[in-house]
Amino acid sequence: MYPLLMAGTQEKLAERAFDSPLVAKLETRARLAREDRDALASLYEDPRDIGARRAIIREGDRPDHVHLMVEGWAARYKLLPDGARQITAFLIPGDFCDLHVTILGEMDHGITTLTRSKVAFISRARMDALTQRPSLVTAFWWSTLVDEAVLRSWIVNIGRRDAFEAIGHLICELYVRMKNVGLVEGHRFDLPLTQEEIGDALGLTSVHVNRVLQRLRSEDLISFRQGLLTIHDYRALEKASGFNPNYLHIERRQEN
Amino acid sequence: MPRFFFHIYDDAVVMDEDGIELADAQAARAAALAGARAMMCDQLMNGRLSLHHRIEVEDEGGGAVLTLAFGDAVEIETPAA
Repeated sequence: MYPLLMAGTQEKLAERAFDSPLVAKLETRARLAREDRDALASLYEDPRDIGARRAIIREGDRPDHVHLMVEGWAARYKLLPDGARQITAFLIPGDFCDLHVTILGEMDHGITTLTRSKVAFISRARMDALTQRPSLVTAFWWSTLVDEAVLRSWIVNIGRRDAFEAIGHLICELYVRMKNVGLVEGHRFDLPLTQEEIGDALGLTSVHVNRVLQRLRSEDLISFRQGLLTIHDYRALEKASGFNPNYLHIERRQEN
Repeated sequence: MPRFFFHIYDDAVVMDEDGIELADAQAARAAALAGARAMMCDQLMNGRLSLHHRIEVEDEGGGAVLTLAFGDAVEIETPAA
């Protein structure tokens, strides 16, 4: 699962295999102490099941919990007056939905599940207790800064890349992020997104997304069937889409 | 909701195997229009436009719902002769 992480011993590898996506993600930057990892693991104790395409949180809500994706996929989005939707982030296991919303007060966008999900609801008191631990404060900051970097990269994607490059770039990004939390086997991972959802993230129509996916298939870069995506030639896909994973800040630990 | 399949006939024949769930044939027509226009934009940015390319929409049973030539997805104004 973690083929090239650090210079780890077999023991370390065995230990990591049982880590949660959250710990895997937050340990990208630096190894955490056992107490830190135990504190994070406790967040996974009682997640709630939420069906597909259900609101986790709505624009205007004043949440008293922070939400953590345990299983499944979710999306941040803004709705336009005409009903159109712009997705501004895909959230995968290990991602916080709204880490700092207890500071900001009111949600300025909504978050919806895309698939059946398990979501941990973390009380403000619990978050306050976690942030008494300096290494976790740094890790949460790292996570927030990477989220911002992803958003920057999406702006570039929407503003300056054509549809083929933009979809290729998104696939590369999701592959690297899924790999970083241990959810990739070989070059294959669950990508439970519809053409509409990919289109809503990139400002493309569903029909156009379909055309581009077919081109990616016909050039033998990917296969994508029933929510399962396989990258056949990662280097070629990276090159075709101008993808550089530096903004995900995981270069210390893995190569592709 | 019924599922519609948008087969694209441009430089290649691109069969849609996934389809899109839409309310009815009218919504499928709107989706085909939006798709054709978006793909024409992509072409224009690369300095070409192929009005004869087309989208054929089928329902789940493989029945033809509509055919839309790119050229019919826009109003084209040319200077009077």
